[in-house]
Amino acid sequence: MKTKIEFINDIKLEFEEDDVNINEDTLFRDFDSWDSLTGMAIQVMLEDSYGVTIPDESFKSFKTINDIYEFVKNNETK
Amino acid sequence: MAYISEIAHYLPENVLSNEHINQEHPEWSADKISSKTGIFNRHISGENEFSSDLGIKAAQKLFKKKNVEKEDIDFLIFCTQSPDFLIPTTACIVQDKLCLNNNIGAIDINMGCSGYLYGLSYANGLILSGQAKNILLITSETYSKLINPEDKSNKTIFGDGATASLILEKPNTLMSGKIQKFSFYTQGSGYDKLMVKNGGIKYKHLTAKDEFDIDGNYIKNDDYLFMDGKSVFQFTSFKVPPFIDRLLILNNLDLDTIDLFIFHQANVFMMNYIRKRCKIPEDKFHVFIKNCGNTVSSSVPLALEDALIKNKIKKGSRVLLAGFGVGLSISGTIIQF
Repeated sequence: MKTKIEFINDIKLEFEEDDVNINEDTLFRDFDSWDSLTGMAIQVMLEDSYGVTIPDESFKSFKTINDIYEFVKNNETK
Repeated sequence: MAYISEIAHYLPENVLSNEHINQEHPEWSADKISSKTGIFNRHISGENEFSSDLGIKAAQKLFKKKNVEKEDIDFLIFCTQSPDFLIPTTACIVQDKLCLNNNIGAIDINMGCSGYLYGLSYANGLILSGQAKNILLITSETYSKLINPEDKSNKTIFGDGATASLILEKPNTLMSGKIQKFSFYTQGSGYDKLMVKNGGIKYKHLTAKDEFDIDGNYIKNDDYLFMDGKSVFQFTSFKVPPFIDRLLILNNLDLDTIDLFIFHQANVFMMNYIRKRCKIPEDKFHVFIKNCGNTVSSSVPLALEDALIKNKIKKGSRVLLAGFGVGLSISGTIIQF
């Protein structure tokens, strides 16, 4: 598993605005650029880079970046 | 060999803007729609305007370019998923209304966003096997008639339109593009990810009700177009990049020997996402969606025509075309100008 900082950077890349400032406590759904398309992009990235498929119900329940990180850490296959 | 010689298009007069969508669905701002999808306007066919009508208008514009005479057309391929009737073949209606010869072939192809490439491959095959010399390939869709008024997602993305392409045995213009080898990919297990369930033979009657989630958001109505956006997004994200690699290998080419990539114009977010995954530089990736939206099988030829008009394609340019979507399916080829 990559470090948490690397993980956060991976997530950050999926937000199209370069100046987006995120950390583990960020409520990512509050970003202006957030929508379901960004969510899909994050899920594809996690499947690709971490081998983790997140069920929609779980993904919908995540509020912070750390929520995603914890799920990935516990389910990673790569 | 077979060549793409000329392309023309027709977009219906009625325009649906982001401001209109915002008025109907205030929760979606016009700016957010354009920033995510790259779409500002889509054209919507009139109440009495159908796929045959759009296709005929595109073909008439093609004939006005004086590149070919109507009587020289010896095969008509009509690609649509919104035919005027279940039976007969729309191409036959179009043959008559365009006053094309009677001693020609006329056939429909039921394929969506990968449809133009399928049509090109059929035309290519008919020419290479000596069955036809001058083929009229029309793509035409009126998806708007299949979209539920409550379905803001699909309403935002899709636009109606038609294109007409002339595919010839012999190049007759300086900018005729030689058609190279094709690749295809089919994942029929995803047939229900982009679908109009009712109105065919299996589920004939249109009696479905709108379905909403617990927050009151529209999900689907089986009488109308349904798209499982996430599944389609995943399909294209994972399957298009290796498909492009295979297509390049088949044609003995490397990614950096391609001068321009023209993909199905789904929406800007998805196109950029796939572009990055395919490692295609932005300046070699043509986008034409702003004022027409996702026009299904017309999106690739519309973008190709635009790239030709804007001189982004020059004599000697190598252009990779790829369509993907309904089926689920992918198709592609390379055109050597």
